[in-house]
Amino acid sequence: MASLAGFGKLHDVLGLFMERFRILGGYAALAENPESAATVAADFLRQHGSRTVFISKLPTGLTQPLEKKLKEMGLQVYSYDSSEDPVHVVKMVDAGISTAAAAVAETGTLVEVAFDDVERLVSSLPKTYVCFVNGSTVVKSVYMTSGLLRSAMERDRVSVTFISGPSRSGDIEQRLVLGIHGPHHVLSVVCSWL
Amino acid sequence: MRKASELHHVLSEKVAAVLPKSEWRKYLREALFRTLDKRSEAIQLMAHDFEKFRHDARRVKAHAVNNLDKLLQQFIQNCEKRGAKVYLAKDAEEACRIVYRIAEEKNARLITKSKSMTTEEIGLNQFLEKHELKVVDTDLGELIVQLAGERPFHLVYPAVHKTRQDVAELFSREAGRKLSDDIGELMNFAREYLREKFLTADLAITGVNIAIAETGTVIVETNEGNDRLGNIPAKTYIAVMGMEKLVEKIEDALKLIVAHPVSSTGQWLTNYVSFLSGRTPLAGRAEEREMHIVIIDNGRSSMRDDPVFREALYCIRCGACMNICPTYSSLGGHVFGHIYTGPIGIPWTAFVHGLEKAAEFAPLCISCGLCREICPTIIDMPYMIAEVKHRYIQKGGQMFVNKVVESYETAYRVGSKFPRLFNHLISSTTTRFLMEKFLGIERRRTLPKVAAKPLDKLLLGKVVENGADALFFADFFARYLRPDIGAKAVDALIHAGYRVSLPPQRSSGYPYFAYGDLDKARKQAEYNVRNLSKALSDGAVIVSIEPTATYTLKHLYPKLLNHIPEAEKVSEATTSLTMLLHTLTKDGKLEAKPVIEGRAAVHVPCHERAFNSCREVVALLESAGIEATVVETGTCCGMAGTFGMKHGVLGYELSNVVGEELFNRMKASSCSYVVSTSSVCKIHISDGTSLPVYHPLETLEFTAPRKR
Repeated sequence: MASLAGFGKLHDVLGLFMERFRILGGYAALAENPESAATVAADFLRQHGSRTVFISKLPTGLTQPLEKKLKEMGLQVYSYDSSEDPVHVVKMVDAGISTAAAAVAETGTLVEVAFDDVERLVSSLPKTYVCFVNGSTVVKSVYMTSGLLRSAMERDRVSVTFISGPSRSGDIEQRLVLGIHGPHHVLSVVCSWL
Repeated sequence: MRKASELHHVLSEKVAAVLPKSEWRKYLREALFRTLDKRSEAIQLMAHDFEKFRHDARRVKAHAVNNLDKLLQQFIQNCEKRGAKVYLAKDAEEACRIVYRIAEEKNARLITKSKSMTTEEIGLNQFLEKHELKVVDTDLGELIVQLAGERPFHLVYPAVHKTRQDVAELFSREAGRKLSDDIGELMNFAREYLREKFLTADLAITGVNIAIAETGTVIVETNEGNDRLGNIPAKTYIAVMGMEKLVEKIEDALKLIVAHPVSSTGQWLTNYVSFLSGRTPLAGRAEEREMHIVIIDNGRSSMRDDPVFREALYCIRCGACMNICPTYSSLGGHVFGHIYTGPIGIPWTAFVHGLEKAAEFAPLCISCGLCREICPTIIDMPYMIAEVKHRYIQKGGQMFVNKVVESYETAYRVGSKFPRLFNHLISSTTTRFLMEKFLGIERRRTLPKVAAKPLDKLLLGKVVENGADALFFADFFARYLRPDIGAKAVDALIHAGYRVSLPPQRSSGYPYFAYGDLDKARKQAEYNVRNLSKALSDGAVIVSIEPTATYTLKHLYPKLLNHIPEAEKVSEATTSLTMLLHTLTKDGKLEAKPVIEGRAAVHVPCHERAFNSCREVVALLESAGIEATVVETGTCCGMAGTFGMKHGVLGYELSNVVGEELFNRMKASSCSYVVSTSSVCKIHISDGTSLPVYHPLETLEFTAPRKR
């Protein structure tokens, strides 16, 4: 696992993001290169018993090592191109993988920008979800996302979602349960090489 | 319009049915108090300067409400540019018809819905089900109340009143098999049950938390992600929103998406915050994926146009006012509410469901004022609730018992002429029996005795006529009951070098406000403001030993008197006496010594909280060497002025139920005595704990500093 040493000012923000994401019941890891990112993600899926995975968009340079790693581990990989009915495919898979446009440290939040709802399906339906995020896009506070939002909303149709850890509910006796509708296990991999 | 006595009877029955459920109440109270604790932690982390945070959130909402017509137009244009269809519904009926028409056009049979109070407000489920459409609420809490055939109990926690056993029974019935009460198993059932609905629904409906005018975006917040699972697979999506959800800009929305979770559940952010700008395609296919936005007025325009109620539209639906409300946390939302529950539910109900509906539960507000103190947009709920009561009593009349307790000052003024006789009468079993039977004053409640010597006599030769730099506002307590404490306060100020005067005055009149007799409250305010402002010289302060009196001068009079300069001047000069005495001792201008031995449990009266002066009470006692600890529940003790003096469930009995947790904590604190600045809380705590209760000034002796 990579360390935060040598990240200068970014150190605090990335550290805070990962700390807060973990407090929310998620898992967080830092990866220094595509290979280590692929390994972290694949190990996580294995730990949570995933046999099938749907991959949506990935950061540059990650597709090949990740698919290779997943296939080596015997996982069946589905992707956007190969799916006829995305709802049907995504509801069958154990895990989903996609990429966030940014993250917010203070609140442990991933910022998903979707121009197509397949993106949202991947982070909504499967029990396990892995999200990659470019380390340089992690901002300190929610208020710093306004530029990103404004620019995304210039497109005619866009859905931006702030995702802070696994799906949760406290509706029965206020006892926190994870994974009520969406993912139960969520890993965010901060990609430091990007 | 039904008479006040009829509504009182119905409400009393509802309250009486709930009061015996002590285990249920304990569970409810713990849940709400836990939420308040989490909220405090989130504030520490996300909003260090909470006052600024509140003012920022208020500014966002105020700006939007002030420009609502313009923003509405801008929002509609921007949504339509993105291909969404937008509808304006003037009332609940029209909104339901619009939704039904869309469903009919799409030949929809199964509809998923995610948490939306607005659809509860308009009775959408019932309307659609009447037309043979199946609506499934997908939020876990909403699903529970839907299966139970109930309405939401709380804005944020709709099923907080249900235990796991209740839920297991409901889900077992739906599953057709016996489920255990293990929360994990119940959740798994809900997940599987709803998953199938999500993926086969013809149409998805969600509420809207915020709508951004500049971009034509609706924002939906859920912790479970059920909004996403609803509106991703369904071809047709309908967002139903109240027009007050609009804000101008993205930056405004960001302030509110933080304010919501911090103030409601104590989260940093809601788990899923979806900004939906138009309908995104699925796998590249945009055709047949429709987005409809139904914007509802249903009384909101009238609210906006009413100067008293306009700021009810600033509500961000966090539910914090319910969590802190002493009677809500004792009775719950099925008694304290119609569709909208709790303190903010009273003004909202008055406008969206009618004045009489609001008047049905408005008497449960005991005017402690804590809802205003906790509100993230600083909505003056106590004032609006008093106005709801006021408007109702113009039509339905005032309860006789309320008129009786409102006129306590007259009774004690007469009593003060014959103190021995008066005190004998209020201690006599026969008199108290008659007072209960004919006046509605609870016979078990201790009534304070009138003092033998009035305050004016004790202050002879001590107060000045002109040129005072401190005005003493005696109010009822110091004037008729404990002039000795009033005189002690005046002495302390004189020791510290103040010239004190006692201008002509009446009591604060707060009970008039609490029972909605605003015309009488206004008269009282006019009299006091006229005399106090006349006696007030530059830089002078106004103090009282009673926190409710201080609160009334500071916060209530300016509003009652339409912010006339004299009322503002009085408000500006009014300060908490305990804060002032603490500052004087800290600055070496006054010395304090203890006159009572032992450890003190400090009670924080609600109106003291408005001044945030509880630390100063403790510090003042500690400066004299008294060991003092705050013992509190974070909410009201339940006495609420004269409320706890009234006979019946809507008075004495409810006040005891509200106070039970505080009494237990006081007794468990192993303190030798209790200190409270409020004269009425003092009676209640003393009755409830059998501990001696003192005003802080009774425990201290003040002297001028020794010369060095």
